[in-house]
Amino acid sequence: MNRTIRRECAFLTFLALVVIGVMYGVPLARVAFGSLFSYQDFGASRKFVDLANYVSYFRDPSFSQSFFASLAFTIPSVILQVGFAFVAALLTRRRLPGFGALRWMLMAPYFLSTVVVVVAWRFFSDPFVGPLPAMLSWVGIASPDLRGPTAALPVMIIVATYEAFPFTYVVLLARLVQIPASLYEVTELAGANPWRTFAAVTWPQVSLTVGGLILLRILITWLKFDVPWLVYAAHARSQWGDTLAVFIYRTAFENLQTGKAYAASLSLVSAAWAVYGLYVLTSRQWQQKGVKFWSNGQRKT
Amino acid sequence: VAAEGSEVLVKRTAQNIAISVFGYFVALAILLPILWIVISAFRPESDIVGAPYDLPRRVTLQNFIELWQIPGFGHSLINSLLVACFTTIATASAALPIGYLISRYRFTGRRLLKTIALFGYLFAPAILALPYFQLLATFGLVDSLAGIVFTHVAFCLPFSLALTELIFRSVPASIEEVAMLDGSGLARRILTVVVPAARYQVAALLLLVFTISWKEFFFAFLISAGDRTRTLPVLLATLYGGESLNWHLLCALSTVLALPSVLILLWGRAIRVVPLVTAGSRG
Repeated sequence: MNRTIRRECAFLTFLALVVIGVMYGVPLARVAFGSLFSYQDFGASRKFVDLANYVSYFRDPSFSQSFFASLAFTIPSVILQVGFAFVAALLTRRRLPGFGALRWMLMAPYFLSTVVVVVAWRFFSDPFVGPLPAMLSWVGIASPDLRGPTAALPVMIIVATYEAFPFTYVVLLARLVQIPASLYEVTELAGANPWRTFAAVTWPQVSLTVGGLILLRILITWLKFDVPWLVYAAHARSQWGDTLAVFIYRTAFENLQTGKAYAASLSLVSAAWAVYGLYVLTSRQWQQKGVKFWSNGQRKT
Repeated sequence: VAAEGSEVLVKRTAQNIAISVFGYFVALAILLPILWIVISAFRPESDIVGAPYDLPRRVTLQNFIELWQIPGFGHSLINSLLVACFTTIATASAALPIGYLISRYRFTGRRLLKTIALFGYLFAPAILALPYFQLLATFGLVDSLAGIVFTHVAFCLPFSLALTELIFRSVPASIEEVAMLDGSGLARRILTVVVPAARYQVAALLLLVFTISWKEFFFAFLISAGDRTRTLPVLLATLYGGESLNWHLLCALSTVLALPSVLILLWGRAIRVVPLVTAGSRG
């Protein structure tokens, strides 16, 4: 039996290595290797250039511009995604009649294509056929024109928030419903108000999840391509310029600077992995500290 | 004490009703842009443009008939279905055995393998675009459905592995022992014992992969070069990026694109797997 198990294990490990190697290992090696070359004639010939592609990438004014454009896109998007999701999860964490359907409605946008979300928002806010400008004018608010280059960034933020909110909501809700009801009962008996209950029970239980979610959303939103690209399709380019993902795409497929696009990709992957690694290490330390606090009775809730 | 208790009960009930009303109001506000586009898909073009804020009085399928007549729509619909189906099959074929390996066996390098698999999570599509494009070009798979399926599998594999491991860990190893004593091989044990024991979770995973592939835009946009391989999201983006916006067609196409997702969501809710569907995926 042991021999059979060993054989099965070896076969599956081999399969895993082949699949992961083909899917991620080969492309990553190609990125790392390719970033050291300059390509001519549509990649037909190449020349070793050492780290020149990296130097060219970091010195390119478009890099700093796209870096700040990504920052301007990512920070508000993630704050809104996590903020809205947290409030919605707090409101719907209890099992009340009708809340099942409500949760379903809140997570529905997750299942829609980004293109549908972009078209829906553009249609909804269109000054001629969309109801949003009319609704705003009914309550006496002048409707902003969401079609020009100045509106591209706000529209990108709205769309990114809209499509990512349900994912964040479900993860936070899953964590909130796991908090033992007895903890809330104890604080209620002690006469704590809702804020005190939140600070003493809810936040300590969900803070790590919120931290992890913020990081995950930053890493995903930071290099998001489809939202800026589709919003640009309808608007002129954003006055903030291209985001990093669009910059890489244009470098590779429009300007045909393959080596530079590889260098940009590898730099960004490395940065993402470094941030992720740092988070894993830090969160482990937090967890251990939390356990120590708990066991020493210093954080009784 | 009884009076105080009933007062608390009344207060709590009022609080719950207020939360429910507020929650439904917010949820409706969130869904309004999508509802508006779906309702408009069934309105005549003249009403969408001429009387956009009136309550819909006439219902028509003309927009869908016109959509069907757009060159390439039928092709795109079939392409989307084929890509989503093959992506689901290929992802399951890779994720089920590897997830089984990580969840069941203790071996040197297990943790490393798990970490490497999950690190795929941190590859943004924009970063993988160029190496995938060149890799596919090497095998002549640019502008092919197989190329799109390959990129979709790569996109779905990391979270599928994470979920499969979780799913299989919830299935007790003891139920396999009888099958092992019976002399069942690895594939048979996975397919006839482990997967049926976790059929709802596995179904949820497959639905998730199907939905993600069905709605995916970037890789399909990158790999597809024309009508032959265009998927529905790319067709919608092409119509949307055109000179003039034909809202009636855009609404109808958006509705067609959203329909399978809504059906899957309804079915997922019916079998109570939706929380699992969204729990392990990236947005």
